Amino acid sequence: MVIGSMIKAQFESLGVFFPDRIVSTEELIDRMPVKPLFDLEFLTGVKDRRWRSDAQDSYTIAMAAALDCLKKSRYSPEQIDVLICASISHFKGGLNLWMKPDLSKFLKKSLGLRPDAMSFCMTNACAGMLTAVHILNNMIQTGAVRNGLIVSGECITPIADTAVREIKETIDLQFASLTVGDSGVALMMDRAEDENEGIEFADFVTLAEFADLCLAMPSNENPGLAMYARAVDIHQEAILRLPRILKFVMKKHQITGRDFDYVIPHQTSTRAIEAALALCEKHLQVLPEALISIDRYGNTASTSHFVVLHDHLENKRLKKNSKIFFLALASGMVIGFVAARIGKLEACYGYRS
Amino acid sequence: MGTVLKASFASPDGPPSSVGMAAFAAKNCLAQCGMSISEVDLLINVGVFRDDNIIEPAMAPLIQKQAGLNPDPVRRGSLDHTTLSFDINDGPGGFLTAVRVAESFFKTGRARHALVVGGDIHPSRTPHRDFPFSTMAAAALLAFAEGDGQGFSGFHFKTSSNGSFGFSANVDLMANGLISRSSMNFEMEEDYTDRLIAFASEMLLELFQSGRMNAEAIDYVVVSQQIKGLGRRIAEAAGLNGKARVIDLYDQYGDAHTSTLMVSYHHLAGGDLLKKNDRILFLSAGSGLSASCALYTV
Repeated sequence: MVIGSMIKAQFESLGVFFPDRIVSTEELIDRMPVKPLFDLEFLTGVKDRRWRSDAQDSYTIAMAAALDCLKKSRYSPEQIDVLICASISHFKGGLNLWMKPDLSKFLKKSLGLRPDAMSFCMTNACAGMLTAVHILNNMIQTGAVRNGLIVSGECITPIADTAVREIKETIDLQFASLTVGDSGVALMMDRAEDENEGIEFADFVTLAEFADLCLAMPSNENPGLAMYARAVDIHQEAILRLPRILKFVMKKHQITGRDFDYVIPHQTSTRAIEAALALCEKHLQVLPEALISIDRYGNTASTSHFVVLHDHLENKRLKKNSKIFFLALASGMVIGFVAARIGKLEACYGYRS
Repeated sequence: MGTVLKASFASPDGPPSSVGMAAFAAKNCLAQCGMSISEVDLLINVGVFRDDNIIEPAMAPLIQKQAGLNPDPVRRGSLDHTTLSFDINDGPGGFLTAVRVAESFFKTGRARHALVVGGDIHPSRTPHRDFPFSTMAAAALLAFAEGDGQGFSGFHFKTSSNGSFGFSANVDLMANGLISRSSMNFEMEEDYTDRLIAFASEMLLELFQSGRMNAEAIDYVVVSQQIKGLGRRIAEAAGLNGKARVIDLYDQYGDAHTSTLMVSYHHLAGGDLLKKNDRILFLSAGSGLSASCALYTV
């Protein structure tokens, strides 16, 4: 579909993968030598999260999600023009941080894409998949590619393992690590055939002043990966700036909350989500229904918006031809918005009978 | 209309940090063309090997902060001039991939300037004996020009379809334990560079023979340089024996990995070697095996 002289891009199909193992917050707290004073489950809303097996890593989880997506897609691997791997974690062969060649090359070969298809890794913390949507939207609109597959295999529970071992104080930079869960998501995008379908806009800003408020790297206390987050500072700085950014984006794209059926915020904690949504409500005039699945999946990093979307699509909880307002908030600090109508995905999952 | 290189910078003299080097290159690159920091819409880091093996956030926001590029547009009251930062990891091909990505933002009107930066370093931030690359800070400022025929065209990307990758780099966090922050394991297959030469030259030959690229029109070749003479051998194998001059700075800088194409371009641009309508073949080759190329008209 063409808007003005521009093609419009859409979400064509969505695939997911979740490890079988479910670990409750209670179980995680039980393992901690130094227990938090506060009620982590009450504060964050995270009851359970999926947990990788020793045989699962970013690559295997991404592969499984990509295969699930391809089963639902009208495209075969050899028809795909670009593959973008957007995960924060890039483990392959266990807790092996893989830098070169980038994971997209392994995925490209294993999935059987054409040798001349583009493939690269693109990271932007928890905004990774939505940033990849922004990138692919531009590439499809300009005809650089006809379609593309965005994949993310987030194998991030290693930071929770480290936090369980290393948290020694009742206030600790690793508390946010206890909220994460593993998951894989793959999203196929192509040209929209219907003018009402697809991505209406994507807008992102990096507030780099706060880039070092959350850092993940190998731990220097125990073997493994650790994340050090000044969660309160991140929340404060984001909340302080969100209203003006939101107001700017609303004016730029001529939108209000009435234009959307649902809003999907990044799944950090219920309290942080509630605070952000309260601000959104004030400025959007009307707050669309917020979709949240943090209770069962935790914070799944770059996949979080699409884990929620999948959860609601699979349970057929969405209105027909829903228009979604995706709200990204990520380390960097990245604040981003994607507005899209997802009728094609709904058709792919089937409607409520 | 096309995506053009508005300015470039390359230097081995940056601070011993991937973030520091890229920020150093970013600031110097912008200073060269007198551009305001608020005019950079996209900051794309293509460097792969980084300080402390940090995986979050992306390196680009850390670079953006250190370079002072629009770090807080809300406080500054300039939301109509913001910067989006992210990393692209495509090995030595990262630069051309970043150009391709930036170009799509230019064409939709969602960006006017993109700054591509790189600066690989061993995660220990030391001149580690196992690190097979040289540390070079590099940056290139991209813009969309209205001029006819200028800029990048004819992008082509290719990955081998067999199960061999040629070169790998990774760090096993359990095996390396408490030194994982400062460790990286590099493995190169014995015949890696020979296979890379064959793979990249075959890609070029296909393009020349199918008429998608005109070998005769190429004035310069800016190319990955894992070893001295790699570019020359690729050019010869692809039949580029005419006037095209291969830029090989291996003796000066070694293998600057993701910075190589920017370093070589900067050498050409800074040496006043280029004249209008000269054509430069940008060619990357690396593990995967992967190769990519595009033609740039000055």
